[in-house]
Amino acid sequence: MNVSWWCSAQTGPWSWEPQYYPGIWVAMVALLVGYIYVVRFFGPTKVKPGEPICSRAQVASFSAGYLMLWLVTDWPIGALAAGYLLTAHMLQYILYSLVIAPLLIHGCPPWMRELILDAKLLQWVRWLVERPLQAFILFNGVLALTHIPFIADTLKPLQFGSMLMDIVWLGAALIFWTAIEGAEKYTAPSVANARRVLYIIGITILPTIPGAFLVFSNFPIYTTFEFATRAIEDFSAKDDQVLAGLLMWVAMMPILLVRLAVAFFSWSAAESKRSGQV
Amino acid sequence: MIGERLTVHLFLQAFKKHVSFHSLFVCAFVFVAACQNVDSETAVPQSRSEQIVIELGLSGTAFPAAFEKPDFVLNNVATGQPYDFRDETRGFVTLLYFGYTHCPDVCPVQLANLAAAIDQSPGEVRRSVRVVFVGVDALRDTPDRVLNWLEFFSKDFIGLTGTEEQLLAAQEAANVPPAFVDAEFEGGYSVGHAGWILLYTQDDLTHLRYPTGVRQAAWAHDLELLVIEGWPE
Repeated sequence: MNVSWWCSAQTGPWSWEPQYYPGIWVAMVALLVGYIYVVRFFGPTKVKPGEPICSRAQVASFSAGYLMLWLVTDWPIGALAAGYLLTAHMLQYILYSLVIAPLLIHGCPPWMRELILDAKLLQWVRWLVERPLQAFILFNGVLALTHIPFIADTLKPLQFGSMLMDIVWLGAALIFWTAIEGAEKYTAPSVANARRVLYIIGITILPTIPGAFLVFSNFPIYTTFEFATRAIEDFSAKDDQVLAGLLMWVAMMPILLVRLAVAFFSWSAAESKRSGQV
Repeated sequence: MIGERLTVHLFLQAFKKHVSFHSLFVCAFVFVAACQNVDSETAVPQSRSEQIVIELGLSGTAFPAAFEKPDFVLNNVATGQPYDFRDETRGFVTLLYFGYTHCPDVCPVQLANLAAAIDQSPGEVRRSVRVVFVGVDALRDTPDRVLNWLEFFSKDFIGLTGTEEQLLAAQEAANVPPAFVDAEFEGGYSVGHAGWILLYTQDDLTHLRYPTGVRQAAWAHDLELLVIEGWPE
Protein backbone atom coordinates (compact mmCIF):
# COMPACT_ATOMS: atom_id res chain seq x y z
CA MET A 1 0.00 0.00 0.00
CA ASN A 2 1.49 3.32 -1.10
CA VAL A 3 0.64 6.17 1.28
CA SER A 4 1.84 9.78 1.10
CA TRP A 5 0.49 12.98 2.61
CA TRP A 6 -0.14 14.77 -0.70
CA CYS A 7 0.29 14.07 -4.41
CA SER A 8 3.77 15.10 -5.60
CA ALA A 9 6.01 14.38 -8.58
CA GLN A 10 7.60 10.92 -8.33
CA THR A 11 10.62 9.49 -10.10
CA GLY A 12 9.22 5.98 -10.42
CA PRO A 13 7.06 4.69 -13.24
CA TRP A 14 3.37 5.56 -13.31
CA SER A 15 1.14 2.84 -11.91
CA TRP A 16 -2.64 2.45 -12.08
CA GLU A 17 -2.50 0.81 -8.67
CA PRO A 18 -4.36 3.21 -6.31
CA GLN A 19 -2.25 5.51 -4.11
CA TYR A 20 -3.51 6.93 -0.83
CA TYR A 21 -3.18 10.56 0.19
CA PRO A 22 -4.46 11.13 3.77
CA GLY A 23 -3.62 14.85 3.61
CA ILE A 24 -6.18 15.30 0.86
CA TRP A 25 -8.78 13.33 2.82
CA VAL A 26 -8.16 15.44 5.93
CA ALA A 27 -8.54 18.67 3.90
CA MET A 28 -11.73 17.46 2.22
CA VAL A 29 -13.31 16.25 5.46
CA ALA A 30 -12.38 19.56 7.14
CA LEU A 31 -14.00 21.53 4.31
CA LEU A 32 -17.22 19.52 4.52
CA VAL A 33 -17.41 19.55 8.32
CA GLY A 34 -16.68 23.29 8.31
CA TYR A 35 -19.49 23.97 5.83
CA ILE A 36 -22.04 21.86 7.73
CA TYR A 37 -20.96 23.37 11.07
CA VAL A 38 -21.37 26.94 9.83
CA VAL A 39 -24.75 26.18 8.24
CA ARG A 40 -26.10 24.34 11.31
CA PHE A 41 -24.76 26.55 14.08
CA PHE A 42 -24.47 30.03 12.58
CA GLY A 43 -27.14 29.84 9.87
CA PRO A 44 -30.22 30.18 12.14
CA THR A 45 -28.82 33.35 13.71
CA LYS A 46 -27.91 34.96 10.39
CA VAL A 47 -31.16 34.75 8.42
CA LYS A 48 -34.57 36.21 9.13
CA PRO A 49 -37.23 33.79 10.40
CA GLY A 50 -38.85 31.91 7.55
CA GLU A 51 -35.95 32.49 5.14
CA PRO A 52 -33.95 29.47 4.07
CA ILE A 53 -30.48 29.24 5.59
CA CYS A 54 -29.15 27.79 2.39
CA SER A 55 -31.09 27.44 -0.86
CA ARG A 56 -31.18 24.16 -2.74
CA ALA A 57 -29.22 25.74 -5.56
CA GLN A 58 -26.51 26.80 -3.11
CA VAL A 59 -26.28 23.31 -1.61
CA ALA A 60 -26.16 21.80 -5.10
CA SER A 61 -23.47 24.26 -6.18
CA PHE A 62 -21.32 23.57 -3.11
CA SER A 63 -21.78 19.80 -3.50
CA ALA A 64 -20.78 19.93 -7.18
CA GLY A 65 -17.74 22.09 -6.43
CA TYR A 66 -16.76 19.89 -3.49
CA LEU A 67 -16.99 16.62 -5.42
CA MET A 68 -15.11 18.06 -8.37
CA LEU A 69 -12.41 19.39 -6.04
CA TRP A 70 -11.92 15.96 -4.51
CA LEU A 71 -11.94 14.30 -7.91
CA VAL A 72 -9.19 16.48 -9.40
CA THR A 73 -7.02 16.67 -6.26
CA ASP A 74 -6.90 13.00 -5.27
CA TRP A 75 -5.59 9.94 -7.14
CA PRO A 76 -5.46 9.46 -10.11
CA ILE A 77 -5.88 12.98 -11.56
CA GLY A 78 -4.01 14.68 -8.71
CA ALA A 79 -1.11 12.22 -8.95
CA LEU A 80 -0.93 12.48 -12.74
CA ALA A 81 -1.08 16.29 -12.52
CA ALA A 82 1.64 16.44 -9.89
CA GLY A 83 4.33 14.79 -11.95
CA TYR A 84 3.34 12.68 -14.93
CA LEU A 85 1.14 14.60 -17.35
CA LEU A 86 1.19 18.32 -17.98
CA THR A 87 -2.24 17.92 -19.60
CA ALA A 88 -3.63 16.60 -16.33
CA HIS A 89 -2.02 19.50 -14.51
CA MET A 90 -3.62 21.97 -16.91
CA LEU A 91 -7.01 20.31 -16.55
CA GLN A 92 -6.65 20.48 -12.79
CA TYR A 93 -5.66 24.15 -12.85
CA ILE A 94 -8.50 25.12 -15.20
CA LEU A 95 -11.07 23.30 -13.09
CA TYR A 96 -9.72 24.75 -9.83
CA SER A 97 -9.71 28.31 -11.05
CA LEU A 98 -12.64 28.51 -13.44
CA VAL A 99 -15.16 25.90 -12.31
CA ILE A 100 -14.60 24.73 -8.74
CA ALA A 101 -13.94 28.14 -7.17
CA PRO A 102 -17.11 29.76 -8.64
CA LEU A 103 -19.16 26.68 -7.67
CA LEU A 104 -17.91 26.81 -4.08
CA ILE A 105 -18.59 30.54 -3.86
CA HIS A 106 -22.12 30.15 -5.24
CA GLY A 107 -22.55 27.38 -2.71
CA CYS A 108 -21.94 29.78 0.16
CA PRO A 109 -24.89 32.07 1.01
CA PRO A 110 -23.95 35.78 1.31
CA TRP A 111 -24.20 35.66 5.14
CA MET A 112 -21.66 32.83 5.17
CA ARG A 113 -19.20 34.75 3.01
CA GLU A 114 -19.53 37.74 5.34
CA LEU A 115 -19.07 35.53 8.38
CA ILE A 116 -15.88 34.06 6.93
CA LEU A 117 -14.54 37.45 5.87
CA ASP A 118 -15.22 38.84 9.35
CA ALA A 119 -12.59 36.52 10.81
CA LYS A 120 -9.64 38.52 12.14
CA LEU A 121 -7.10 36.37 10.35
CA LEU A 122 -8.83 36.93 7.01
CA GLN A 123 -8.86 40.72 6.97
CA TRP A 124 -6.25 40.70 4.20
CA VAL A 125 -8.65 38.55 2.17
CA ARG A 126 -11.44 41.07 2.79
CA TRP A 127 -9.10 43.84 1.62
CA LEU A 128 -8.55 41.96 -1.66
CA VAL A 129 -12.19 40.96 -2.07
CA GLU A 130 -13.21 44.60 -1.80
CA ARG A 131 -10.75 45.52 -4.55
CA PRO A 132 -11.42 43.54 -7.75
CA LEU A 133 -8.39 44.99 -9.55
CA GLN A 134 -6.02 43.74 -6.86
CA ALA A 135 -7.83 40.38 -6.83
CA PHE A 136 -7.44 40.23 -10.62
CA ILE A 137 -3.71 40.97 -10.30
CA LEU A 138 -3.38 38.31 -7.59
CA PHE A 139 -5.18 35.70 -9.72
CA ASN A 140 -2.98 36.33 -12.75
CA GLY A 141 0.13 36.79 -10.64
CA VAL A 142 -0.42 33.36 -9.11
CA LEU A 143 -0.99 31.87 -12.57
CA ALA A 144 2.24 33.42 -13.87
CA LEU A 145 4.39 32.77 -10.81
CA THR A 146 3.40 29.16 -10.20
CA HIS A 147 3.98 28.31 -13.85
CA ILE A 148 7.54 29.63 -13.98
CA PRO A 149 9.50 26.42 -14.73
CA PHE A 150 11.99 26.90 -11.89
CA ILE A 151 9.23 27.36 -9.32
CA ALA A 152 6.99 24.59 -10.63
CA ASP A 153 9.89 22.13 -10.97
CA THR A 154 11.10 22.94 -7.46
CA LEU A 155 7.73 22.67 -5.72
CA LYS A 156 6.14 19.75 -7.54
CA PRO A 157 8.48 16.99 -6.26
CA LEU A 158 7.80 18.09 -2.67
CA GLN A 159 4.58 17.00 -0.98
CA PHE A 160 4.42 20.29 0.90
CA GLY A 161 5.24 22.24 -2.27
CA SER A 162 2.59 20.45 -4.26
CA MET A 163 0.03 21.02 -1.51
CA LEU A 164 1.02 24.69 -1.34
CA MET A 165 0.47 25.08 -5.08
CA ASP A 166 -2.98 23.49 -4.87
CA ILE A 167 -3.96 25.75 -1.97
CA VAL A 168 -2.60 28.89 -3.63
CA TRP A 169 -4.40 28.19 -6.92
CA LEU A 170 -7.71 27.53 -5.25
CA GLY A 171 -7.26 30.40 -2.79
CA ALA A 172 -6.43 32.96 -5.49
CA ALA A 173 -9.39 31.77 -7.57
CA LEU A 174 -11.75 31.98 -4.57
CA ILE A 175 -10.60 35.53 -3.83
CA PHE A 176 -10.91 36.57 -7.48
CA TRP A 177 -14.40 35.16 -7.99
CA THR A 178 -15.63 36.48 -4.63
CA ALA A 179 -14.41 39.93 -5.64
CA ILE A 180 -16.06 39.62 -9.06
CA GLU A 181 -19.36 38.22 -7.77
CA GLY A 182 -19.72 40.62 -4.87
CA ALA A 183 -18.53 43.75 -6.67
CA GLU A 184 -21.96 45.44 -6.32
CA LYS A 185 -21.44 45.66 -2.59
CA TYR A 186 -18.59 48.10 -2.96
CA THR A 187 -19.38 50.04 -6.15
CA ALA A 188 -22.39 51.15 -8.16
CA PRO A 189 -24.08 48.18 -9.93
CA SER A 190 -23.41 49.52 -13.44
CA VAL A 191 -19.71 50.04 -12.66
CA ALA A 192 -19.52 46.62 -11.00
CA ASN A 193 -21.06 44.93 -14.03
CA ALA A 194 -18.77 46.71 -16.46
CA ARG A 195 -15.74 45.79 -14.38
CA ARG A 196 -16.90 42.18 -14.15
CA VAL A 197 -17.06 41.92 -17.95
CA LEU A 198 -13.64 43.56 -18.30
CA TYR A 199 -11.96 41.27 -15.77
CA ILE A 200 -13.43 38.16 -17.36
CA ILE A 201 -12.16 39.36 -20.76
CA GLY A 202 -8.81 39.89 -19.05
CA ILE A 203 -8.56 36.37 -17.69
CA THR A 204 -9.67 35.04 -21.09
CA ILE A 205 -6.83 36.76 -22.92
CA LEU A 206 -3.92 36.46 -20.48
CA PRO A 207 -3.67 32.63 -20.33
CA THR A 208 -3.21 32.52 -24.11
CA ILE A 209 0.37 33.78 -23.54
CA PRO A 210 1.62 30.79 -21.48
CA GLY A 211 -0.57 28.59 -23.70
CA ALA A 212 1.38 29.80 -26.75
CA PHE A 213 4.69 29.04 -25.03
CA LEU A 214 3.54 25.50 -24.39
CA VAL A 215 2.24 24.90 -27.91
CA PHE A 216 5.07 26.48 -29.90
CA SER A 217 8.08 25.55 -27.79
CA ASN A 218 10.40 23.08 -29.54
CA PHE A 219 11.23 21.28 -26.32
CA PRO A 220 9.50 20.47 -23.05
CA ILE A 221 9.52 23.44 -20.70
CA TYR A 222 9.14 21.63 -17.38
CA THR A 223 11.78 19.11 -16.29
CA THR A 224 9.20 17.42 -14.05
CA PHE A 225 7.18 16.30 -17.05
CA GLU A 226 10.17 15.86 -19.38
CA PHE A 227 11.73 13.24 -17.11
CA ALA A 228 8.50 11.59 -16.04
CA THR A 229 7.96 8.06 -17.23
CA ARG A 230 5.15 8.04 -19.74
CA ALA A 231 1.76 7.41 -18.17
CA ILE A 232 0.24 6.88 -21.61
CA GLU A 233 2.21 4.92 -24.19
CA ASP A 234 3.18 6.72 -27.36
CA PHE A 235 2.34 10.09 -25.82
CA SER A 236 5.63 11.95 -25.60
CA ALA A 237 6.48 14.82 -23.26
CA LYS A 238 6.25 17.20 -26.24
CA ASP A 239 2.81 15.89 -27.30
CA ASP A 240 1.70 16.26 -23.71
CA GLN A 241 2.92 19.85 -23.60
CA VAL A 242 1.20 20.77 -26.88
CA LEU A 243 -2.07 19.25 -25.67
CA ALA A 244 -1.77 21.12 -22.36
CA GLY A 245 -1.25 24.39 -24.26
CA LEU A 246 -4.24 23.69 -26.51
CA LEU A 247 -6.31 22.82 -23.46
CA MET A 248 -5.42 26.20 -22.04
CA TRP A 249 -6.87 27.81 -25.16
CA VAL A 250 -9.66 25.45 -26.14
CA ALA A 251 -11.06 24.36 -22.78
CA MET A 252 -10.58 27.68 -21.04
CA MET A 253 -12.33 29.68 -23.74
CA PRO A 254 -15.83 28.13 -23.61
CA ILE A 255 -15.88 28.21 -19.80
CA LEU A 256 -14.90 31.87 -19.79
CA LEU A 257 -17.22 32.76 -22.65
CA VAL A 258 -20.17 31.29 -20.73
CA ARG A 259 -19.13 33.32 -17.68
CA LEU A 260 -18.74 36.37 -19.89
CA ALA A 261 -22.17 35.88 -21.46
CA VAL A 262 -23.77 35.53 -18.02
CA ALA A 263 -22.00 38.68 -16.78
CA PHE A 264 -22.87 40.62 -19.90
CA PHE A 265 -26.56 39.70 -19.89
CA SER A 266 -26.94 40.40 -16.18
CA TRP A 267 -25.31 43.78 -16.80
CA SER A 268 -27.66 44.42 -19.69
CA ALA A 269 -30.69 43.34 -17.61
CA ALA A 270 -29.62 45.57 -14.72
CA GLU A 271 -29.20 48.53 -17.04
CA SER A 272 -32.63 47.95 -18.65
CA LYS A 273 -34.23 47.72 -15.21
CA ARG A 274 -32.48 50.92 -14.10
CA SER A 275 -33.53 52.88 -17.23
CA GLY A 276 -37.12 51.56 -16.75
CA GLN A 277 -37.10 52.90 -13.21
CA VAL A 278 -35.83 56.28 -14.40
CA MET B 1 23.71 43.05 36.42
CA ILE B 2 23.34 46.76 35.75
CA GLY B 3 26.84 46.79 34.29
CA GLU B 4 25.94 43.99 31.90
CA ARG B 5 22.78 45.79 30.80
CA LEU B 6 24.74 48.99 30.30
CA THR B 7 27.34 47.19 28.23
CA VAL B 8 24.65 45.64 26.01
CA HIS B 9 22.89 49.00 25.71
CA LEU B 10 26.13 50.80 24.76
CA PHE B 11 26.96 48.07 22.26
CA LEU B 12 23.54 48.37 20.63
CA GLN B 13 23.84 52.16 20.52
CA ALA B 14 27.25 51.89 18.90
CA PHE B 15 25.92 49.27 16.48
CA LYS B 16 23.01 51.49 15.47
CA LYS B 17 25.29 54.50 15.13
CA HIS B 18 28.06 52.94 13.09
CA VAL B 19 26.52 49.96 11.32
CA SER B 20 23.90 51.18 8.89
CA PHE B 21 21.59 49.00 6.86
CA HIS B 22 23.65 49.85 3.79
CA SER B 23 26.87 48.64 5.31
CA LEU B 24 25.18 45.36 6.27
CA PHE B 25 23.98 45.02 2.70
CA VAL B 26 27.51 45.65 1.39
CA CYS B 27 28.90 43.05 3.81
CA ALA B 28 26.30 40.53 2.65
CA PHE B 29 27.15 41.27 -0.98
CA VAL B 30 30.89 40.86 -0.36
CA PHE B 31 30.21 37.59 1.48
CA VAL B 32 28.09 36.21 -1.39
CA ALA B 33 30.66 37.39 -3.94
CA ALA B 34 33.43 35.72 -1.95
CA CYS B 35 31.46 32.48 -1.84
CA GLN B 36 30.91 32.64 -5.58
CA ASN B 37 34.58 33.28 -6.06
CA VAL B 38 35.37 30.10 -4.15
CA ASP B 39 32.93 28.18 -6.38
CA SER B 40 34.39 29.54 -9.57
CA GLU B 41 37.89 28.67 -8.36
CA THR B 42 36.88 25.07 -7.76
CA ALA B 43 35.32 24.97 -11.24
CA VAL B 44 38.69 25.47 -12.96
CA PRO B 45 38.94 22.80 -15.70
CA GLN B 46 41.35 19.99 -14.95
CA SER B 47 41.89 18.84 -18.52
CA ARG B 48 41.62 20.11 -22.09
CA SER B 49 38.37 18.13 -22.51
CA GLU B 50 36.84 19.79 -19.47
CA GLN B 51 37.90 23.17 -20.80
CA ILE B 52 36.18 22.41 -24.12
CA VAL B 53 33.03 21.28 -22.33
CA ILE B 54 32.91 24.58 -20.42
CA GLU B 55 33.75 26.71 -23.47
CA LEU B 56 31.16 25.09 -25.71
CA GLY B 57 28.51 24.84 -22.99
CA LEU B 58 28.14 21.08 -23.44
CA SER B 59 26.04 19.07 -21.01
CA GLY B 60 28.19 15.94 -21.04
CA THR B 61 30.89 15.11 -18.52
CA ALA B 62 34.38 15.13 -20.01
CA PHE B 63 36.78 12.21 -19.62
CA PRO B 64 40.25 13.36 -18.56
CA ALA B 65 41.60 11.54 -21.61
CA ALA B 66 39.70 10.37 -24.68
CA PHE B 67 39.03 6.63 -25.26
CA GLU B 68 39.07 4.93 -28.61
CA LYS B 69 35.82 3.63 -29.99
CA PRO B 70 35.49 0.05 -28.67
CA ASP B 71 35.92 -2.89 -30.95
CA PHE B 72 33.10 -5.39 -30.43
CA VAL B 73 30.67 -7.37 -32.52
CA LEU B 74 27.09 -8.07 -31.41
CA ASN B 75 23.89 -9.18 -33.07
CA ASN B 76 21.87 -6.47 -34.88
CA VAL B 77 18.25 -7.08 -33.86
CA ALA B 78 16.84 -5.54 -37.06
CA THR B 79 18.84 -7.62 -39.54
CA GLY B 80 19.85 -10.61 -37.46
CA GLN B 81 23.40 -10.07 -38.77
CA PRO B 82 26.58 -9.42 -36.78
CA TYR B 83 27.16 -5.74 -36.18
CA ASP B 84 30.74 -4.51 -35.96
CA PHE B 85 30.33 -1.44 -33.80
CA ARG B 86 33.58 0.27 -34.73
CA ASP B 87 33.26 -0.28 -38.48
CA GLU B 88 29.54 0.42 -38.78
CA THR B 89 29.66 3.69 -36.87
CA ARG B 90 32.95 5.02 -38.23
CA GLY B 91 32.79 8.77 -38.92
CA PHE B 92 29.41 9.24 -37.26
CA VAL B 93 28.67 11.01 -34.03
CA THR B 94 27.70 7.87 -32.12
CA LEU B 95 25.78 7.48 -28.91
CA LEU B 96 26.24 4.16 -27.16
CA TYR B 97 23.90 3.12 -24.37
CA PHE B 98 23.92 -0.05 -22.34
CA GLY B 99 20.45 -0.59 -20.90
CA TYR B 100 17.66 -3.13 -20.69
CA THR B 101 14.18 -3.20 -22.12
CA HIS B 102 12.39 -3.96 -18.84
CA CYS B 103 13.91 -0.86 -17.24
CA PRO B 104 10.99 0.97 -15.60
CA ASP B 105 12.35 4.52 -15.58
CA VAL B 106 15.89 5.56 -16.58
CA CYS B 107 16.26 3.79 -19.96
CA PRO B 108 12.90 4.73 -21.48
CA VAL B 109 13.17 8.35 -20.35
CA GLN B 110 16.76 8.69 -21.64
CA LEU B 111 15.90 7.17 -25.03
CA ALA B 112 12.64 9.09 -25.38
CA ASN B 113 14.38 12.40 -24.70
CA LEU B 114 17.23 11.55 -27.03
CA ALA B 115 14.83 10.54 -29.81
CA ALA B 116 12.81 13.73 -29.36
CA ALA B 117 15.96 15.87 -29.46
CA ILE B 118 17.25 14.20 -32.64
CA ASP B 119 13.80 14.52 -34.19
CA GLN B 120 13.92 18.29 -33.62
CA SER B 121 17.44 18.62 -35.05
CA PRO B 122 18.30 19.72 -38.61
CA GLY B 123 18.55 17.02 -41.31
CA GLU B 124 22.34 17.17 -41.37
CA VAL B 125 22.46 16.32 -37.70
CA ARG B 126 19.91 13.52 -38.01
CA ARG B 127 21.91 11.95 -40.85
CA SER B 128 25.22 12.19 -38.97
CA VAL B 129 24.14 10.68 -35.66
CA ARG B 130 23.89 6.98 -34.82
CA VAL B 131 22.25 5.79 -31.61
CA VAL B 132 23.22 2.27 -30.59
CA PHE B 133 21.38 0.54 -27.76
CA VAL B 134 22.80 -2.64 -26.27
CA GLY B 135 20.32 -4.77 -24.33
CA VAL B 136 22.38 -6.07 -21.39
CA ASP B 137 19.70 -8.32 -19.93
CA ALA B 138 20.75 -11.42 -21.84
CA LEU B 139 17.81 -13.46 -20.57
CA ARG B 140 14.96 -11.10 -21.46
CA ASP B 141 16.37 -8.76 -24.10
CA THR B 142 15.60 -11.01 -27.05
CA PRO B 143 16.09 -9.56 -30.56
CA ASP B 144 12.32 -9.22 -31.10
CA ARG B 145 11.83 -7.59 -27.73
CA VAL B 146 14.66 -5.08 -28.30
CA LEU B 147 13.45 -4.32 -31.83
CA ASN B 148 9.84 -3.65 -30.79
CA TRP B 149 10.90 -1.67 -27.75
CA LEU B 150 13.29 0.57 -29.69
CA GLU B 151 10.73 1.24 -32.42
CA PHE B 152 8.62 2.80 -29.73
CA PHE B 153 11.24 5.57 -29.49
CA SER B 154 12.72 5.75 -32.98
CA LYS B 155 12.95 3.52 -36.00
CA ASP B 156 16.51 4.81 -36.57
CA PHE B 157 17.91 3.51 -33.28
CA ILE B 158 20.11 0.46 -33.68
CA GLY B 159 19.53 -2.39 -31.24
CA LEU B 160 22.15 -5.00 -30.38
CA THR B 161 22.03 -8.16 -28.31
CA GLY B 162 24.38 -11.05 -27.63
CA THR B 163 25.29 -13.80 -25.27
CA GLU B 164 26.24 -12.97 -21.71
CA GLU B 165 29.93 -13.31 -22.58
CA GLN B 166 29.62 -11.10 -25.66
CA LEU B 167 27.76 -8.45 -23.69
CA LEU B 168 30.36 -8.51 -20.94
CA ALA B 169 33.15 -8.15 -23.46
CA ALA B 170 31.38 -5.23 -25.15
CA GLN B 171 30.97 -3.40 -21.84
CA GLU B 172 34.59 -3.97 -20.91
CA ALA B 173 35.68 -2.71 -24.30
CA ALA B 174 33.60 0.42 -23.82
CA ASN B 175 35.01 1.00 -20.32
CA VAL B 176 31.67 0.84 -18.56
CA PRO B 177 31.00 -1.19 -15.41
CA PRO B 178 29.40 -4.50 -16.35
CA ALA B 179 25.66 -4.84 -15.79
CA PHE B 180 24.48 -7.21 -13.05
CA VAL B 181 21.18 -8.83 -12.22
CA ASP B 182 19.58 -7.94 -8.89
CA ALA B 183 17.40 -11.00 -8.29
CA GLU B 184 16.15 -9.75 -4.91
CA PHE B 185 14.57 -6.61 -6.35
CA GLU B 186 10.89 -6.40 -5.38
CA GLY B 187 8.46 -7.53 -8.04
CA GLY B 188 10.90 -9.54 -10.14
CA TYR B 189 14.50 -8.93 -10.99
CA SER B 190 16.15 -5.70 -11.88
CA VAL B 191 19.35 -5.02 -13.79
CA GLY B 192 21.99 -2.64 -12.51
CA HIS B 193 23.72 -0.99 -15.46
CA ALA B 194 25.70 2.07 -16.47
CA GLY B 195 23.23 4.94 -16.48
CA TRP B 196 25.15 7.17 -18.84
CA ILE B 197 25.36 7.43 -22.60
CA LEU B 198 28.79 7.45 -24.22
CA LEU B 199 29.26 9.91 -27.03
CA TYR B 200 31.83 9.25 -29.76
CA THR B 201 32.66 12.19 -31.97
CA GLN B 202 33.51 11.94 -35.68
CA ASP B 203 37.17 11.33 -34.79
CA ASP B 204 35.97 7.97 -33.36
CA LEU B 205 37.01 8.89 -29.85
CA THR B 206 34.89 9.35 -26.78
CA HIS B 207 35.50 12.57 -24.94
CA LEU B 208 32.18 12.72 -23.14
CA ARG B 209 29.58 10.75 -21.31
CA TYR B 210 26.04 11.94 -20.66
CA PRO B 211 24.45 11.17 -17.31
CA THR B 212 20.72 10.77 -16.78
CA GLY B 213 18.86 14.04 -16.52
CA VAL B 214 20.16 15.70 -19.69
CA ARG B 215 17.33 17.74 -21.17
CA GLN B 216 16.12 17.47 -24.76
CA ALA B 217 17.18 21.05 -25.51
CA ALA B 218 20.68 20.28 -24.21
CA TRP B 219 20.93 17.13 -26.35
CA ALA B 220 19.85 19.07 -29.43
CA HIS B 221 22.37 21.82 -28.71
CA ASP B 222 25.28 19.43 -28.14
CA LEU B 223 24.56 17.15 -31.09
CA GLU B 224 24.21 20.04 -33.54
CA LEU B 225 27.43 21.57 -32.29
CA LEU B 226 29.41 18.34 -32.37
CA VAL B 227 28.11 17.32 -35.80
CA ILE B 228 28.66 20.68 -37.46
CA GLU B 229 31.73 21.96 -35.63
CA GLY B 230 33.22 18.63 -34.58
CA TRP B 231 35.33 18.10 -31.47
CA PRO B 232 37.88 20.94 -31.26
CA GLU B 233 41.50 19.86 -31.62
